Amino acid sequence: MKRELPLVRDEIPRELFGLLEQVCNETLREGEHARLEEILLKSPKSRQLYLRYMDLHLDLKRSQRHGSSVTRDAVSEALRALEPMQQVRREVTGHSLSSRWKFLTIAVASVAAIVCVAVMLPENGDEKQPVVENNVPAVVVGGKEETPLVDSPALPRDVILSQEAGAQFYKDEMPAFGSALRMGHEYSLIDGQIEVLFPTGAKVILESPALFEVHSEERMTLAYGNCSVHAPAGAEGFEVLTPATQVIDRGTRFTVKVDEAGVSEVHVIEGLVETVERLNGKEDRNELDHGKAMRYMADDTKSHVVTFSQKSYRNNLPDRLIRYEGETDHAGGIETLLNLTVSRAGKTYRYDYEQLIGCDVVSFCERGSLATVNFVTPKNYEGNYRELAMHDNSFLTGILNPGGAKKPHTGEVILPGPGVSKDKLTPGMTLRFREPIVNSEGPDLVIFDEQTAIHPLEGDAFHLRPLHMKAGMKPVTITRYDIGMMSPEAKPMAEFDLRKTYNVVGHLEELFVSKRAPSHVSLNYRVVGTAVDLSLMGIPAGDEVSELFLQDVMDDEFRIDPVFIAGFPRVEKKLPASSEDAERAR
Amino acid sequence: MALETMIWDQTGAFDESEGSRECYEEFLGLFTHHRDRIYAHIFALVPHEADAEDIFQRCSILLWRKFQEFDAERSFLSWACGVAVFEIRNFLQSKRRSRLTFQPELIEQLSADRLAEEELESDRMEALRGCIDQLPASERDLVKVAYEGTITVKDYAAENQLSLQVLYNKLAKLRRLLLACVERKMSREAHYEA
Repeated sequence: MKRELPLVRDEIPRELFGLLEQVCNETLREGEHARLEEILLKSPKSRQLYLRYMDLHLDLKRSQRHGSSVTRDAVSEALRALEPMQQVRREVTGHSLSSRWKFLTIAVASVAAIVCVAVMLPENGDEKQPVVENNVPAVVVGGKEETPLVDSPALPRDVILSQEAGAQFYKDEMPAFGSALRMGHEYSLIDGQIEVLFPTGAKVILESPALFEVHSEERMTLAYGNCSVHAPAGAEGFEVLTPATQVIDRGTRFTVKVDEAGVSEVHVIEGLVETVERLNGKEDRNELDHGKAMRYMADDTKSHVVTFSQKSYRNNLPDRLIRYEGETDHAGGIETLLNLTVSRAGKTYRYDYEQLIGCDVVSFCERGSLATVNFVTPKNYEGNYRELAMHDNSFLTGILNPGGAKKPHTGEVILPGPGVSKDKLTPGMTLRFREPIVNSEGPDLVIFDEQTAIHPLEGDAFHLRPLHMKAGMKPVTITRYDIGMMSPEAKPMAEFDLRKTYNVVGHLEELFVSKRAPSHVSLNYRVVGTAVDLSLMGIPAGDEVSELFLQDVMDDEFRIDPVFIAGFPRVEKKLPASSEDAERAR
Repeated sequence: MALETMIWDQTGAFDESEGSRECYEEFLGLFTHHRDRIYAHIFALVPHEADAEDIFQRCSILLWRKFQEFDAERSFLSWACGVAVFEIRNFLQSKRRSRLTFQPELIEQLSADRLAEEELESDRMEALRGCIDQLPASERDLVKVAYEGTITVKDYAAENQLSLQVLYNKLAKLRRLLLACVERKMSREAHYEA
């Protein structure tokens, strides 16, 4: 099945792997050959992959034929017969040729010209663009692409949980990223979404609630729920079983939706699938083309056409903070941030701490909050408490429990100043970034919060808005973190101290001069975190912001405890300024 | 006919003097040293074994004919690959191939790309052998079936009543795994060398 993927940038199209396989298997047909030529002519990265694939193909032949020769026996034999002559040759220096062969003919000049032009061709500028296919798990490090050539062929040996977004299973513990799923075990996905990667390259995104079971590297059952399947070339034959039908991939993308009665809908987004239903004990096989949808009944009722919809198809998991890494103490508790991985508009980036844009707390008003624990510090901290408001890479420093309001403050934020009484100050905290952060593709900043199991498992809810609002801007309320307490990515914190103040403080200066006392830490804390998209605040794509205002949502007795906040580097390509798009992405 | 004799007979470019013989030895030394890489270059541009071998043979003779024009200050491999591209174009034009072949523009571009990478290549074969050794026995067996050349995958599938598509899928998975493994090993070597 030929797929039309526009090559507007230098990407490696998904179909290329399938075409390369057909070259190796010598099953390439005319139309596919033309498509291969088209791809290779347009894309230097595709040519690079093609050449490496062909080298591998040839090397495999060599490796299995017990020698380095791949040419016909006659030629191999002939060359072996020349061995004695080669011994003579080895005694001759390479430079001796230069004195003997110093004239060029027109013919060789023309051949040499081909070589020279070929070798001297400048690198295509497009090649330097950071390009990653949307659902290829390549990683962009610090805005520079790690070649997808290495990442994309790295298919697992087992059926693995390749990604998750806020996912939870009923009874089963959430497997770690990249770990194998159990064959023949029914998983109940009760929250979030997961991506399951099969060794053939087939990728399935399941959304909660869903009941599913993996049978083999090419087959799974969806007993209930929705899944989006992408079976690239090479994964043809991948099967999804439902109570009502069997869906066999023929190189495509499709969705399967199963309800409680087992009624199953199949929508083919791209390519072709074969479906098998059992009617009165007989198999009825049909092909379903792209843009078509069918509903299959779990009884002997014949399937029927339904209106096609591609809305339910998910190419990727939502943009989110995927994971973070840091330095730990002797007991494995995390102390500092080393790097984090985030999905921005479907592309995965990893940033070192040094690449992030730090922020300082420049205003703080606790009003509206009953909490008085305001500082988190490393154990036995003897430093300056003012430094706790400054940006650093530690998870063990920060100013906690700002005030807030159930409804986000949309008017002007009242900050301390001459003639401003304490009770007029807007509760919350102002974050000033050390350089402006730009509304780029996907999320633009990250907030980490310290949390325990008795706090909201999703993370402490908060409002966030530009400090100075312009027309079209609005606060965003985050009630669910990307990495919440239930995520295997939430890491336990190293030991720390808490310090409380005796009064509810009105502003930052008051906080620093208030009398402090230790507050006992008796619970185990973890670091939870979430990425936030500036588009959600109505900030146009490409616009910068330097100051944000953070408030607790005051929906419970627990306030937000931010221990690390930073912006992400700018990504060149901008999304349209649409907060609706960003809402949908979440 | 041995290649040596074939080349010598078909060219007649030099007489039987000691100088010509010495020159021939020079050529054979260089050619033998680079032959696998020249063949790999041709195979990458014409990925069909029989055609690639025909071209390789023709190219071998042409290289000897043109050898007096080779500038020893330059890379023999680059020069030979340039001659090979020249020969590929002749071959494809003269044969009016029914088989699917790349257009000349793409062949030249691929040749240029490959030569640019050739300089960076270390021993791929050694890396590949290491990767194959890491495969489970059943997967090593499949690689052997597919590449040993004693039976086609299609015939193997038919003989053993296996699904051809499933075998192709498994081979696709293996090639990708091996490619990733070779890339990893080679980049690790490059790192050590640096």
